Amino acid sequence: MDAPLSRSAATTPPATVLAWDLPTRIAKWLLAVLVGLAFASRYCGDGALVWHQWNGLAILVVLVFRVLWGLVGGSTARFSRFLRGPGAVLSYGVAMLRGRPPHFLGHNPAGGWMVIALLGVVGAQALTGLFTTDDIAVYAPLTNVVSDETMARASAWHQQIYPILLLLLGLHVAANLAHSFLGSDNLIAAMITGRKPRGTFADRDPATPGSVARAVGCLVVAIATVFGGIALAGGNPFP
Amino acid sequence: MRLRLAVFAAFASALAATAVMAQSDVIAQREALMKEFGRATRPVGGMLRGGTPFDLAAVQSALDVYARNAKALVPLFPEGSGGGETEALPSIWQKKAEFDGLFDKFAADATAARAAITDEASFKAIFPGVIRTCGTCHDSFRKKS
Repeated sequence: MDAPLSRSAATTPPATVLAWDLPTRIAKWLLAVLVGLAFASRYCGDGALVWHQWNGLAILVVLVFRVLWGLVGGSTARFSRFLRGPGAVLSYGVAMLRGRPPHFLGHNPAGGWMVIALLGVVGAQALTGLFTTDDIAVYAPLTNVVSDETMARASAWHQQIYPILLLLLGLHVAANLAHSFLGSDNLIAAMITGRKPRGTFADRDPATPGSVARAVGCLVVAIATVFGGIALAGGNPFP
Repeated sequence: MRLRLAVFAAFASALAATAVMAQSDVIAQREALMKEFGRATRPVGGMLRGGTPFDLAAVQSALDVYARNAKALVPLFPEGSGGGETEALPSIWQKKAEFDGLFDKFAADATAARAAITDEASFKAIFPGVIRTCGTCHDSFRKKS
């Protein structure tokens, strides 16, 4: 803002910096939409359970993609960059309670663990779903390779994990709404546009994006892992 | 006096044991019939989604199992058989008429479908409506896992 007027437009640093690369954002919102659709299709009658299964498979693909992207993707998407020890989480929590949390370009220490929790719980829900039956006419892709007892147990877990997931999602959404509209860091806008206003960040900035070619590679591996994995296990990957 | 008490106690415990046995007996019987529903429906579920080829004989035999077992199941939920190892909810005996009505509807629907289903098109149109009663009943009368 107080940049010298003599500077040409080309050399003026942009007012924003990259926070999230495109593959990270697409995976994030795709997962949100798919989880929402999975909730919806659960309640749309028996016919929709087929849709619900495709939904679950799509969620698995996005999850595997996101895990791979957390290893080889853009800097802010990498687990090694945003997962911090309990000390860092605690001091972030204390700073937040004092009303002066440090700014992070990527996930803050608390948010980073929420990412892991969400990936873990959605993953558990998707995996138990593979062995679930409605006990009437719909049998998930891997039900034919396990015993009736395992199927019953997985079906029960699939129902028991659901409220845990709802709780985590509630926390996640509430925290992001609070940060974005009560705090000074609009996380929701950043996750949509991929950019944050230039500022002082506690982590490295700007983010370095992962390449699109690498993202496509991760997607192909994710699809092959999910559908190939089910087929290799002796299941029916196409409900 | 003491002998009479002993005889009475022996009778009472024998009676109680019989009651418990009878109860676990109806539970086992109704679960076996329910499991038969499941075994008959599973291949038909694949046909509904087009995963396995349509087989009219399998559909008809499933519908026969529905009609036969639904009738047989009604007397297998006597008052007091909600204890022990069972997924039956107490609501069964609070709304016994509604519960029995679902079995009657299921049997009637299956019998009607048995006559009406002649090919794959009529199967896909009619069959889902028949097994909808399964979920309706599970939702209100079966323990959530």
